[in-house]
Amino acid sequence: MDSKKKDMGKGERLSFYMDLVGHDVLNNNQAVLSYLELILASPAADRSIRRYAEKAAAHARSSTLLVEDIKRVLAVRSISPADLKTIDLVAATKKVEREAAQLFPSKSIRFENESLMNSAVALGGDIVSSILLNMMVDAIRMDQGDSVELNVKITGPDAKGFWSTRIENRNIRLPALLKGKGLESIYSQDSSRAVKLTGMVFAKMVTGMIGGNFEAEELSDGKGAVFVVRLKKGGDGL
Amino acid sequence: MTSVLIVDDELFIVELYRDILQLRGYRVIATAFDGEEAVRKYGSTKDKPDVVIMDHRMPIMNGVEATREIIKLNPQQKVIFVSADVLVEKEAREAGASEFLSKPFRMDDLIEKMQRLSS
Repeated sequence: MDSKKKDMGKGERLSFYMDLVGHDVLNNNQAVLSYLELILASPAADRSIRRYAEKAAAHARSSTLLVEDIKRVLAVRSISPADLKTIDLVAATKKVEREAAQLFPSKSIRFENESLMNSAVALGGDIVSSILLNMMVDAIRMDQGDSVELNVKITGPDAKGFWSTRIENRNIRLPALLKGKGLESIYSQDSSRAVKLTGMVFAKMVTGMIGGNFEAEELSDGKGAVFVVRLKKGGDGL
Repeated sequence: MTSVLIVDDELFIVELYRDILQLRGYRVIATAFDGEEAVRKYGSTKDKPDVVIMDHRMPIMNGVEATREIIKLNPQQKVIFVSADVLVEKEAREAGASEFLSKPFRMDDLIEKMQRLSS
């Protein structure tokens, strides 16, 4: 057996197992979320019980997002560029902002959307929504404050036909692993230091798989970080 | 009272549906833990359920195959297909499912689909 065939076999076995695990976790999350909904709907639940139930539901939703990400990575691995659907980045960012906020019931989250265009069609379909959601979630998780403000801006397309979506948080420091060469070699870094980066690593990996790229920068005054995803323009018969 | 057949291989999910549906006034008339059992029970029961809630991944016969068989027996049967595999929606609808819910769903989404199909 040549090494390529051996590797493909390993990859397929891993994909199959991860698919089964993902399915079982989603089933368990379904039960947790539904019973929490029953608690929230109960007139017997007082204010503090409701608050706990809302927090627990947010954690179950976060767990669901992580599993969906694994499933997404497995699916994107085998997708061909010709099969990529398109998505309107303007509508997608607005939808994803709401979803991200729901995952943090204890924080007050404000999105400042500075995009000027009405629509920005990019290649990637729902995969792009997952990328944006993961970036926003980590940009919120990195912020220790009770109030979080994210600035979101879509620009482009540039001369090469790419849209840029910037997500900026002026209240966080850019993690060392995302700085300069750290980002380029992130997969070989010590994972024990890669805390609160699951979403950014997902964004970098999956963006690359669909022909785009991911960048992270420290703001010039050293306070704040900006995460940028560049995605191919879609909808022109590309 | 709207009657329901629940088909899912996970006992805790069957219990979850039963808890939600009974609380909202629906009557669970039967349960099945795989597609084959569902088709057999459906074929042998005189009083057909108003709605079938169908999972996809199950031993012996999956949800798409079971839906296809049930629709063959009764083309008017309403089926809510529920799965964590969103890619299976097209296949499920082609098999005859009236509605598709992706897991995890909100309880109100399930009830809204139940109401739509039973009205």
